[in-house]
Amino acid sequence: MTTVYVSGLHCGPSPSAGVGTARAIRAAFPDARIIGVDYWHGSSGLHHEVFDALWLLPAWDYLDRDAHANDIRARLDEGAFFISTLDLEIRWLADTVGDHARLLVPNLCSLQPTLKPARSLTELLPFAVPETLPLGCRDAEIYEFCRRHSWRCWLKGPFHDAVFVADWRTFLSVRDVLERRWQSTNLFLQAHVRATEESICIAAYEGEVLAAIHMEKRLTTAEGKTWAGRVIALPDCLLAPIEILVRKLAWTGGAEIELFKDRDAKRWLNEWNPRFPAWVYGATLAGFNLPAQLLARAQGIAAPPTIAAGDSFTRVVVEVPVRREIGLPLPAEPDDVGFASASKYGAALPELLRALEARPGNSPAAETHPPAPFDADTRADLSQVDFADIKTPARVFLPRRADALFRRLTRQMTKPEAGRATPVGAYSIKTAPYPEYIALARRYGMLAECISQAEVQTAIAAGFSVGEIVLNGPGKWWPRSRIPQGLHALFCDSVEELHAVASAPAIAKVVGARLRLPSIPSRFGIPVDEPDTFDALVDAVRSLAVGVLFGVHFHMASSAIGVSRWWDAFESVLAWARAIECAANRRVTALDLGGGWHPQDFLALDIDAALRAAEGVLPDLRWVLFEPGKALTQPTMLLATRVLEVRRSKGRIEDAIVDACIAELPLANNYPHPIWLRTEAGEWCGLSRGRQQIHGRICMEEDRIGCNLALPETLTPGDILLIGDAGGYNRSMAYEFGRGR
Amino acid sequence: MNLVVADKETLRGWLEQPASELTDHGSSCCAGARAWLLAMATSYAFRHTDATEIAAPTFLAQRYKWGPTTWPIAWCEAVRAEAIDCGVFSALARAIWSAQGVECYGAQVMLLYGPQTTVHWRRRWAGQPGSFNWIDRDLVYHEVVIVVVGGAAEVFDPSDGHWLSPAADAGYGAVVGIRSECPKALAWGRHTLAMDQWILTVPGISW
Repeated sequence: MTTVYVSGLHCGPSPSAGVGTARAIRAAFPDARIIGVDYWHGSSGLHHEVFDALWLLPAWDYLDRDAHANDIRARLDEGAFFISTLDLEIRWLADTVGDHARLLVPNLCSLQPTLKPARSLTELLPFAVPETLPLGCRDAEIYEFCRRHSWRCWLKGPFHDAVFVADWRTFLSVRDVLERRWQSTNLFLQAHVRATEESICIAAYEGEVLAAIHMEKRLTTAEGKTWAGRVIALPDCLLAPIEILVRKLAWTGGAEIELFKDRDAKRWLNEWNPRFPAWVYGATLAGFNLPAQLLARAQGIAAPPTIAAGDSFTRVVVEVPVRREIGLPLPAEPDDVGFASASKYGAALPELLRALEARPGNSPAAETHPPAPFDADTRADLSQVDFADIKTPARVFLPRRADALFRRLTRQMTKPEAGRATPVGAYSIKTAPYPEYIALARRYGMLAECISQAEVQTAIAAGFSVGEIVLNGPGKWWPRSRIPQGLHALFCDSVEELHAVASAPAIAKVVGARLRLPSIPSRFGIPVDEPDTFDALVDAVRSLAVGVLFGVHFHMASSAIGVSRWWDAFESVLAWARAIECAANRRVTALDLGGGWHPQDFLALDIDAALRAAEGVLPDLRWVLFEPGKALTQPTMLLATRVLEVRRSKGRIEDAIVDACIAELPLANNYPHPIWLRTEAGEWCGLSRGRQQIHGRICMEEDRIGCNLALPETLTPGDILLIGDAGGYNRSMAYEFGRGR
Repeated sequence: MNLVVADKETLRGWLEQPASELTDHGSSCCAGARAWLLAMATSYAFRHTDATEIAAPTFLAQRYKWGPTTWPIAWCEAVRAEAIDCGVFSALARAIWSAQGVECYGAQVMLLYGPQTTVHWRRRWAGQPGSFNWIDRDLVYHEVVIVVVGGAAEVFDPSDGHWLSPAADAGYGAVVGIRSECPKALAWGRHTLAMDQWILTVPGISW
């Protein structure tokens, strides 16, 4: 009689594959003795009737792993087979028990290339691979990756866990949670692919594919787990490359290849799981019994034929009686929300991963990098500051760096030779309404973009003429004063405002509308997502005096929505501008493209492409206003702070308190801020990634200035830190708090 | 499968029905409505974010309820309607794709639902002036859009916001017949669609 041990029995919303595997084996081998293996007595599959016996073990961190390995080896030697459906257990079995003819899991060499993100597999498979980034990279690189992928990224654990991160704050908290859970820095980001999901499942023995199927997910749970699907034999075009890969890997066991299929029918590799999927019995119902094929091949016998009940399967929830000898876990105490005990993986699997990674030659910890060193301009600027006597917290303006940045960014906005529309830079006063920046804006020929009359007065006081001012925002008339006439441009935030402005044609050369685009949530601008509101806008545009030029404005921070989504929004605004032209019979002569740029993204912005696209849609376009926004100011100021206290636990540094706080750095957790420590020699040493935090001086829980940092054990009260990217809104939105006044 | 459409008159109507077209008042009301729809479609295309060549106008199914339409209906009325029928959905989707340079055509399908469902739809459409008799006992007539991709057909159902699968030829809502308005023959899965000919996708079906 065949004896098979099958592990991984939990059948919760995110089920393991043990029960499905066992049911498939039972369907082909009714007389087999199937023994269920699990490490948590709450695993619901323990109670399934498919199992003849159970081998219930303590959780992994209470398990004597050597004894367990010996037990498994002994049972294999006695003639039993072992099929694991737990990813980490498979790796442990491969590592500890090693090759055995009846251990039906891949060996370590087979597993190595399939470890997430498994990019090398796509060299042999006809699948694209979503872009990934290891979390050992600098925060600046991670931030760039997220912006580039329009904040549609998954933060993934080394074996399980994938959390969608849509902003930096979420990223920070998820990274913290996952790094603590897995105690590993081998996490990575993966770009989201907008696609439907499908899977390939194989059974293989010593590099030979025994069976391969394709499953199209038809229903999924809220967690994205398969609930229903359609199963077919794997088409030859996919089978052939998989056979080559499986042969190369010398794979034994089951495997599930998770794929995305996008709208262009392009397939992307998501993950290669080294086991059968939980829906494997669904495939059996469709006529493909992969566990039976594997077991038969390992015994050297032919697999019994499988009768198909159809080509699709679905799951139903059923109750089963609890085995008295197992029972149920006690109810959780109120408010005791233990993640791990309720999961299929159990609390101890991360512990198992640590043990495996600690072995020589196994997955070295990801390398972490300190922030990039200062450039020459910054070094020259810093050399002018007396840090020995600096009264902290203090803002450090970088005049050379700022000048260089203004020069570079404004040079980008030169008119292309053949173009009709002129690109014009506009300095957003609100980002940094300070003389040193406004003077640079004037020096480099920018317009002043204001959102209030107070800002208009600031711009005029700094030397801008009224004709060089662009007025925007929902409260642009505050505080009430004499309305300036002859503005360069004025963009209305509502239909009501547009009607009101229409009666004052001398107010601006260009009068326009800020648009609220349908697909991007915002409280600003005129909505156009209803035909009636669009008509109201069109009526208001028609009411503008003939001599007034018409323009369109949109403002959505590219750093928040991402670069590719910004281009989508840009194309969208062109379409709306064209729609207004058609409906109002009024030409659009000016486009104002709002700010929110990261300097790196603005430098990479293809302004020529934007101009060409705009001119292609709007033939009478004369000006395109680009607002680099915080790109001009954010990186040109640092915040100097002193360490007040260094806290230690178990003899090791845990965190530090500094004399700056989120009142001086209000966007501390909205985007990454590189931090440098001043050494005794007066050099600046960038802080790498680590497990320590830097907290601010005030009594607010969220006053965290830096997280996941490697603070040197030599850190001492009085040491000076420099926090980068502290200009722009970090200065203009700073507030008085905890200063005793 | 052996289905029979009970009402020959109904079937004849389906066989002769061309893809629905919206009327145009020839004035700014309809011009504005078209401009609005195309701009809406651009706003939901996400060409750069998704890096896909053809963006299906799935926003239509999210924005409009499916329900009876009084025909004829003009552009300026259609975009303002709360509920539109499959003919309007198809016309809007075709207008969007055509403006985006995507080769697309009207198409009609017969879908299998059964009397437990069709009785409700018949009641909802009863007395609707100017509505087309699209409901029979087991089958219903439905308008969709064919997009030509790489010389083959892909069939989009804008009422539901889904691409139809040529393999889904059984079960609730299965496509049992399809007619294309594309002037050239196109493959759709294992089927070949010829212009203006109803192709039965289920073996054994008859009427």
